Amino acid sequence: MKYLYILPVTLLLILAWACDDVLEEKIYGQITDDEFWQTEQDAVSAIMAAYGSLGGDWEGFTFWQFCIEDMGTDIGTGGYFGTLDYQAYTGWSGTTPDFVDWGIWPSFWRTVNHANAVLDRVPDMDIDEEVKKRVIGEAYALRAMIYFYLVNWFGGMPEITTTLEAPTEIPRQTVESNYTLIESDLKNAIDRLPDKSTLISMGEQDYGRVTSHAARGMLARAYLQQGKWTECAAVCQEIISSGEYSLESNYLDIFSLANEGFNNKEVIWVIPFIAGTSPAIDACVLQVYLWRAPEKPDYDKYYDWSGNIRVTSSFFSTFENNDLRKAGLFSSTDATEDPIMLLKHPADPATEGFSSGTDYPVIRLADVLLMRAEALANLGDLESSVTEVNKVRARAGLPALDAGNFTSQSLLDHIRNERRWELYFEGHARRDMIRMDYNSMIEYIKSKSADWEAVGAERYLLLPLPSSALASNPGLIQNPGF
Amino acid sequence: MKYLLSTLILFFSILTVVAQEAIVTGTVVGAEGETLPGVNVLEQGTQNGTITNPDGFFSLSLLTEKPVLLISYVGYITQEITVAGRNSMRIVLTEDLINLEEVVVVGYGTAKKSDLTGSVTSVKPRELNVSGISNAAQMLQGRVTGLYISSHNQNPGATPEFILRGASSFQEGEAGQPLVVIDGFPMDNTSYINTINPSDIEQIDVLKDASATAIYGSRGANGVIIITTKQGNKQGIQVDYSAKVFTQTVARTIDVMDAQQYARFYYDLAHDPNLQLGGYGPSNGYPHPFGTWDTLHNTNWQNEVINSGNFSQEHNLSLSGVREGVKYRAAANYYGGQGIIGPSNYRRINTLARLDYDYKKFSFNLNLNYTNEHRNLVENSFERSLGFSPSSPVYDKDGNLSQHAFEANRSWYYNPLWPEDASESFSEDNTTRMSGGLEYEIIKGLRASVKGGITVNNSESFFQRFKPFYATEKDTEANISSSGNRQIYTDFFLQYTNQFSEHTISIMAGGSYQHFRNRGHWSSAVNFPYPNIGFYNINAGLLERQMGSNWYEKQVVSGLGRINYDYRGTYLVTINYRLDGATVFGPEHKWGHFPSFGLAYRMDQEEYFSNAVPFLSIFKIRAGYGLAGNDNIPGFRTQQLIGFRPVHVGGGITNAIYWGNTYNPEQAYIPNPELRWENTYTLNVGLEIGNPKFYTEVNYYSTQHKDLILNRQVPRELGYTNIMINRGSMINTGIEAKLDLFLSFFNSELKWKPGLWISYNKNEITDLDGDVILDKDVWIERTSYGYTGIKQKGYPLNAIWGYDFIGIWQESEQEEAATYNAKPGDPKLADINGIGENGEMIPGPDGQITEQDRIFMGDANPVFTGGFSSQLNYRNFELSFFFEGVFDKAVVNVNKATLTFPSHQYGNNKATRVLDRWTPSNPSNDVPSLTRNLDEKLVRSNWAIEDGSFLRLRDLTLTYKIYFEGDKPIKNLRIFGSASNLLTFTRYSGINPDVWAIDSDYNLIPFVRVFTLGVNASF
Repeated sequence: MKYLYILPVTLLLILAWACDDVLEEKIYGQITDDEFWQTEQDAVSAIMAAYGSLGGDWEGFTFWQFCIEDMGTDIGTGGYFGTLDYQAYTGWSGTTPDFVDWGIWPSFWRTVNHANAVLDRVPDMDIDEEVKKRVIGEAYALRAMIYFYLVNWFGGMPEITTTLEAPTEIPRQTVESNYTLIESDLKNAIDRLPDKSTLISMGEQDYGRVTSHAARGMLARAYLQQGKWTECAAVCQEIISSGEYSLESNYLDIFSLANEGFNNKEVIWVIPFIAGTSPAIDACVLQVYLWRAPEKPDYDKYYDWSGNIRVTSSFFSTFENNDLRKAGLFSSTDATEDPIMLLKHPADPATEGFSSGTDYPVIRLADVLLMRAEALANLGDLESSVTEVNKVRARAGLPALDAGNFTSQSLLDHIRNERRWELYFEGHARRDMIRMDYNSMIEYIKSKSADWEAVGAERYLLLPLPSSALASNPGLIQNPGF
Repeated sequence: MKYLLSTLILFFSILTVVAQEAIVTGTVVGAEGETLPGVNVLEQGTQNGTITNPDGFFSLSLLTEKPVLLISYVGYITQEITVAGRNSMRIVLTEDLINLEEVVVVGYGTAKKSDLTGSVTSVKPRELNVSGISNAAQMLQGRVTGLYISSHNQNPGATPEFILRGASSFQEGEAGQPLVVIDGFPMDNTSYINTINPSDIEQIDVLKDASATAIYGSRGANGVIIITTKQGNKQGIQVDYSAKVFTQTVARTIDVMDAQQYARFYYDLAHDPNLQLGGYGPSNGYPHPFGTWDTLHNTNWQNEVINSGNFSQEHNLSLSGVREGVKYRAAANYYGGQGIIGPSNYRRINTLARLDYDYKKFSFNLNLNYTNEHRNLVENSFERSLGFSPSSPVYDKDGNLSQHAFEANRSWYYNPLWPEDASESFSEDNTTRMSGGLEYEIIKGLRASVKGGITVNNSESFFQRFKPFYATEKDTEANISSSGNRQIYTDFFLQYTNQFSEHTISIMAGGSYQHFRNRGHWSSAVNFPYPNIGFYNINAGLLERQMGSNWYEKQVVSGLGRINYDYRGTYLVTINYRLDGATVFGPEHKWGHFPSFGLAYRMDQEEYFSNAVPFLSIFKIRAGYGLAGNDNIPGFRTQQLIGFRPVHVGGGITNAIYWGNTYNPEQAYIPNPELRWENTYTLNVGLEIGNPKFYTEVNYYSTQHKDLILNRQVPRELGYTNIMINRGSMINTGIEAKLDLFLSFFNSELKWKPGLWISYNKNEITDLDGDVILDKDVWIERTSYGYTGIKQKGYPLNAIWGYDFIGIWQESEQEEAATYNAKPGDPKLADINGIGENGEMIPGPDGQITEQDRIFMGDANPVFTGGFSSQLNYRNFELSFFFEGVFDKAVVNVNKATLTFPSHQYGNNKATRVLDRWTPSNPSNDVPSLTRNLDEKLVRSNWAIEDGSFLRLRDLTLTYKIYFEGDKPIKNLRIFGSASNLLTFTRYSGINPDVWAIDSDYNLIPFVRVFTLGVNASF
């Protein structure tokens, strides 16, 4: 009898000891982290992850620019965006819109995560120094770009600079601290990145990768937002005097499909899109929403989700006569109210559904010139400021200005308008309005928001943090008033 | 003369033989006088026995001095009959209706229910009138205490969802489901229940507590459903044929506005002076100009999408029997069903063969099963049929499907009949299962058993759209996918049973191995040159050509052992132990240990008891405690893995990496090498009392689920969404009670078997690692209106929270309403709490309605479930019905908001209830006044969150049986008619209260009644 007990026990023991190998999980279709991080191609794949994780939400990125930065100001109107339903999309309600909660927020932070991974792991890789330097530079630049937009839309953000820790609570830092990080990242990037002509001589195909001047442009933007006029003017001058960029002679050529790639003289940092890539990875949605008017060619190819988005007549009427930049706008005879529609981002005939190939400029030379002009005007150097403005005006077919006719403030007021006429629907209007015409911004908020009297108009200068972020990170505190 | 002599010699020789041994003959019949073939007749104390022939007749030469015959037959009470010199007997067996002797299948063996120490419920299809049922899971609906299966989706081929003794997992889907075992083979997915034809099922045993389930270790934590198929069991050949036809009708439609009311509603909305309409100016704010309303078409879209003449049928043919000791059964089944919403349908062909053979010391069995399922997935839109403009005719003047009356909606809101017109989509599943087992009796009492099998399932699906969807979309698109699952299972064990004096002991030990593989691939493209090329040749698609593939494997290795001991059949002890290792867990945590024990005391076996209370045949107290585990988690969670995908950043194409198993940041997770088994500790205490006339069972249980795997949120700013950790725990406590009676009147002419059961379950989260998880968000028209579910410590897993709706602001309350930024006609919510500086809650009204004013509304899982069944037999008629009751469950009726809230809501049609909205002259206290937007707080208040309790007459069946005596080819015939879901008692205002958690347009299915006619014949 007692032998019988031995048998099952032995069986169990044999099982337990012999089977540990059997229980190792077999992985198919992916590799382990230990096997990666070996070659130059691995380093490039890693930084491509940072570009690509904005991937399906590059669409979100441009969509956000459009909704918040442009539709959320007095230059855009109409369609659903004028109604209470969509106030969240333009920033005038107490809830964050869906595309923030489950689009931008996770993909922005994923980009930061991918950039941090590169910064953690690539320096120790045993690979070609030039490849290593460039990839690290791109990581710094992308991280800084993400932080710039987050700080401007939400205020002070948690600072995450490594992937080696995973705390359960991450507190917010101040806006000043964030900008310090942004500036140091961009300076690190500028030191490491090649410029456009170097890339062309290398035979680089990917014209969307960050260059040294792109990082400079973002640094100038960061300085401008903080009111660091001298630094801003200096960095802008570096870009201008490099000779790498010049203004396109025809305004619409900045955006045209034929002029995409390194051929484009003016664009400094562009988000390149390719039609037909799916699911909306690398695709630009922006112009799809704006294109629908019966007079436009192929208009029925595009969705009318937007419900008649329009450019405001009040903005249109501010243009000077004969301003060639009005070519980017179009007055439709089909609409009875608000007939002005957007034309400057061209429709891509290869568009499939939401997936269109029209590139989106993030920074271009005209913007840099106007930033320098604004910085100089703030410093009191009206002559140099007007010189820059006149370069932009010349392309627009407008007469040059005379510095003698302006005071510092009146020149700034003019530059404000010049930026609107030049950079409309490129993701600048809201930021510019807050920076350069604060009172108008407050008045605009009051006209749009349903509850500003109860909560104060100032609260709408920032967006509320998405509820998913607050739920998952107890260290976050919502913006005041939300 | 010669013949007479030989006959005489023969006769005398027989007599001589007979004179040397006693022979007894007899006929065994059932209570209705029907002869019973295949009944076991055994001479007590010997191995000498026989079985009755097809006429119920037996003849047995007796060996002992004072022979006692043991007559036993499945489903009947065994009788001991002293021969007492008789040569011929007529033995009447009584049906074991209360199943005191029933044999239940427990892990790795069988046992008599009366000897069990654990909690098991058995369901025998032949005892139920399972006429209207086409799916084995439906057979269990409402019949097993503690098991709730929603009938929300009655479509055949739908995968059932089981809740056994409460919610038990933080993960969605399969992880919380019980384990399904078919003929000894654990399946990795409950959907395999669809591959078994109900008419092939002999018995289903549901194991509920640890002492029953622990032997199944992995996934035994959520309970086990064991399905045993029929064997051949009658001498000779038996042929059975059955057929049924049935049709579905819609039980409840929604009363929506007609064209005139619809036109008027939007006109009123556009002209209401209080509303800002923004982009909806007079030119497009209402679809039909004033004065044209009498000339409008009026289309009843619900009628258009409902497949009113639907017809389904099922045919079954089986052949079974015993020949030279080989029991065999082969069956074929065809099911062809049309859905209630056209044109969806489901077709299934199922064939199986089973052999059981005992030869000397060997016992052998072989099972082969093949199922083919075909599903047409195109379904016209029921949800659209409620919202689409009634003023649009079905077809416009060009003969195309008409567009929405609101111009602005045309590109987004398609005609409800569009899916059938513009797309084709179907799937086909082939499942093959082969298994075999061998048992060998080494020495008396010691058996060795080995079993092995393989299940292969391949599922292919095809989709194409060959007409534009939106007005702007021109392209045709198609996609195809194929997914294959393969499971290999084998187990082996030794079992030793012995009885010495009054002790019986049985020891079992062994092991098992299971391998699971899934692999699949898909491809898609758009822009095909002609319609209907699509998935037949996907290479013809010009653009957006994509593809993908996946491959996944998992293994589980286990050792198991069990000891059963009983003393005099009175004191029973069971001890189980199981050791499991699974590949999905972290390197140091692959193994889990699952011990359990059960005790039972059969008081009815004590002499003093049977003397004092002779009318009770069973009085059993049992208790069990044990641990079961769950390994049902997705793989690839324990190491950091890197995947690749192509990315364009300009003119070239490069590989980019991603980690967290997906490039979608919304789902990416951080790996956790410490992942380990979930553990469930169950305590079960039960009492069973019964005699042939009644049976009652009461169980109390307390199930603690610990180390539950949570997708713990991590700060999104880390670039991930969650990490899987073993930190959740929850507890289910409950009571189950049932009572079955068997009553007979008028000399057994009229028999009545009523049964009543009720169960109560309370579920509560006991630990969530401090996390609070928001879920069950309300989506209407692609916009989220916020969360209604909160998972947090101290509340049920599926807790629903909402605002307290207390009425509509009336004119007399205008001032107070203004303090809440509301006006008369707006909904009024209770202001219960306020918010402090750091977002914490402060009791007391604060003049604002904020998230802190939400209160606990209930559990989306029912607290009480119950049923009442009744089977009435009179001569050859049988009338049976059963009621299912589900009580105290919260449902967020989102459809109430979309259909009865008087807002614009993108020009959708609404229920006629909006005509009763608040106006100064009609001070409603339920429907608010005309308004622009859907109030997101109202949608998440008890204006929309309702109690989904109901009592439903699930099934009503009338059957007529005919028995044929003698040598006719046909032995018996059964004709029946049945109706399901005839009556529902509920206060729920939506279509079907049996919907889980959220009733919104995303899961809108009409509630159907099914009427069936059928016939069964045995030859």
